Amino acid sequence: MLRNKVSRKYFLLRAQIVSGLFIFATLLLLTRLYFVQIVHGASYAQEAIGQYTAQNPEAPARGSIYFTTADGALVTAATQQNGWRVAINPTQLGDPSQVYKQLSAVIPLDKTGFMASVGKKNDPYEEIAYRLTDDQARKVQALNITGVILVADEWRFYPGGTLGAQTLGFVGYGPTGSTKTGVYGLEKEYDNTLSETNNGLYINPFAEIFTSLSSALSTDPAAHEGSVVTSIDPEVESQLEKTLDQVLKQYSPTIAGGIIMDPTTGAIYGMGSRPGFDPNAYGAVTNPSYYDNTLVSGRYELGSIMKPLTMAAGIDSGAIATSTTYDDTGCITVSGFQVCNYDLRARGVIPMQQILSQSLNVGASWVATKTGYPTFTKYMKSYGLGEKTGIDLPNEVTGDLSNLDNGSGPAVNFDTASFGQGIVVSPIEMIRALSALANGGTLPPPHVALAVKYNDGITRSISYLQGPRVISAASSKTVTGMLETVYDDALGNGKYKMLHYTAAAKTGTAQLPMPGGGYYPGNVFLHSFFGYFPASAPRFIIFLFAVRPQGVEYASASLAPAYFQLEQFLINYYDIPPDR
Amino acid sequence: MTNNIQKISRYAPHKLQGALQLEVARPRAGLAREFAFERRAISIFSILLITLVLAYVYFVASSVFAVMARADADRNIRTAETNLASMEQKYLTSSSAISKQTADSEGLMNLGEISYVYRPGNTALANIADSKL
Repeated sequence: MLRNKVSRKYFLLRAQIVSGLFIFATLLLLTRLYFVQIVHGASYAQEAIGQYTAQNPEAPARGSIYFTTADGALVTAATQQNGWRVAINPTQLGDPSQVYKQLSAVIPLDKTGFMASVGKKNDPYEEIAYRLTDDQARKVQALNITGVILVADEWRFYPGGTLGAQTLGFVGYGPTGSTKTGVYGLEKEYDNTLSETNNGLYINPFAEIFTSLSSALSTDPAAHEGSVVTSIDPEVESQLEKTLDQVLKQYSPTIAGGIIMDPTTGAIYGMGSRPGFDPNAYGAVTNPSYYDNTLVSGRYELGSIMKPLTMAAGIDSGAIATSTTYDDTGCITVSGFQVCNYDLRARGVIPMQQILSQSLNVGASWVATKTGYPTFTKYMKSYGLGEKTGIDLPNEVTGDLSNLDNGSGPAVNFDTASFGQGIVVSPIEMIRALSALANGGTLPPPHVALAVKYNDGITRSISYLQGPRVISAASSKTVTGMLETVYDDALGNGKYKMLHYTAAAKTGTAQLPMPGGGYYPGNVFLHSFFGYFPASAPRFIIFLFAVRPQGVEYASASLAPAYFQLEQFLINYYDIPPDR
Repeated sequence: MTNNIQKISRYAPHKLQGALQLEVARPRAGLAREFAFERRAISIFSILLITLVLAYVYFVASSVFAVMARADADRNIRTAETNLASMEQKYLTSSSAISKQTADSEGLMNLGEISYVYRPGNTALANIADSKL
């Protein structure tokens, strides 16, 4: 009995001690909660907002786009940039003028906008500054102003500014209008590749292993998330755009554009047009047509640069040879229309070389007629002039060869098509067709993306299939030889001839069609130019064009110097060995 | 094994039964001693189970820390990429500002005449007919 009493006493004592401990712990926690939530609640809340790094819906996680230099180094063309936003809580803010004075001393701040935000007393969160660097954010934090909050910011950044802007495109609001997505250029074309679905907070290691395996073994590297490596060389692109700027400054064309490509692989080293824009501030552009890559989405009557293709068709079909001669009368009448040389002069009996060297329209018409219109049409189509090249850029248009009507159209349509009038083609279609002359008769696949770089470190090359053979290797060699003569002897009366390098080139000066039909009278032209070098084993093909250049009549005056400048740059930059 | 077991019943001993010494076996451990192989298997499996549980806890904890470390690394990468992009911006701006005037101011000048040397090398000079390759 006594033993039971003692036991019960000890039990009660133990229960009281345990209860006391529980009550003490509860009181301790409650006191801590009081200090955390009531006493320091506001400052902790502010600190928490400052540390808030929720994904910005305006700039969702996205892979980068890279340029590639001649030595293979990658230079960022587009990437995600991290920084800070400054927001205010108008209900907590002190003297607005004093706060503005303090903030504007360390960050760029618009006073009108700031005061308008301060006036929204019912809104506890108003953003007043964006895209601040860490240094700027530190300065704002050091001010320690009540009611001023720092919030993590993220945005798409293009370090090159205007460099390759139309090719890169930009990220803007998509059809839903709620989140940003690639809307132009590579940003649009590779949107699925660049868009990252993983926010980094949840990771499934097994799923990652399978994803990595899948991307490593996939037949389509671009089908998996990653960064896009392009063939665009920033130095080449910069040089191309500088050259276009000079053309723009000197001749004020409405549009000037150019492409620099490897005629064998189809890899594009430079592609740009003017007027351009800065994708970092695309909203500031007044004319949305500047966003368009006119080299892919525009089509033009490109003029006499079509003549080498006409000549190649004639030679390859066996209708003519380099030794063939014809009687040039200066003008001919076809289907009731007069077709004339640019200077209306007759040359008499001359060989085929002179058609290219003197850019004779009558001669090109003669070659088309001699080839036969159905055969001529077949060649024009086989050059891919009426079809998409498949370049990895959005909004590609196809040329319009409908005037040829499968070889049964009026004779004048074939005659004008032979020197690049009456049919429209896109610049990218044209450079691909002309590349066949430099590439042994085979069409290359024009492309910008070289590889996809995955987040796990693997880089997969994107493979492109060579296009079809459109003329024989012998025909391409023959026409290249003729274009070498044009470059060495005819262009600028031989002033561009290089002692140790061979080049093949041709100018084009085309009349511009009016919207209602017919052509603009007077000196309203489109200038075009193409050339490739070294002619013995071409490494580069350059295409240039300018719409409505002012104060200059022929492309030999406006674009030949620009081409020569680019040619010299590429020879030095890529250290091209001499070929003669 | 069965040779050491005394005949205590008319039934043959189970094949898993070991060297059973009933006179020294404690009554409570009789079954365990009788099925010694099973007992060893249970011990091994128990150790294995505990090891697996510990390994599971370790790997789950490691995964949590790895995710945290990865988030941290991602943040550092983004910061590095941001800084790199700023430097690349400066590089691109600076390189596009280079002109002939810049070269002149640095004392560089055009070469008056460029001479090239053609050296075909041994392969081109070798006479295949003489089996020199």
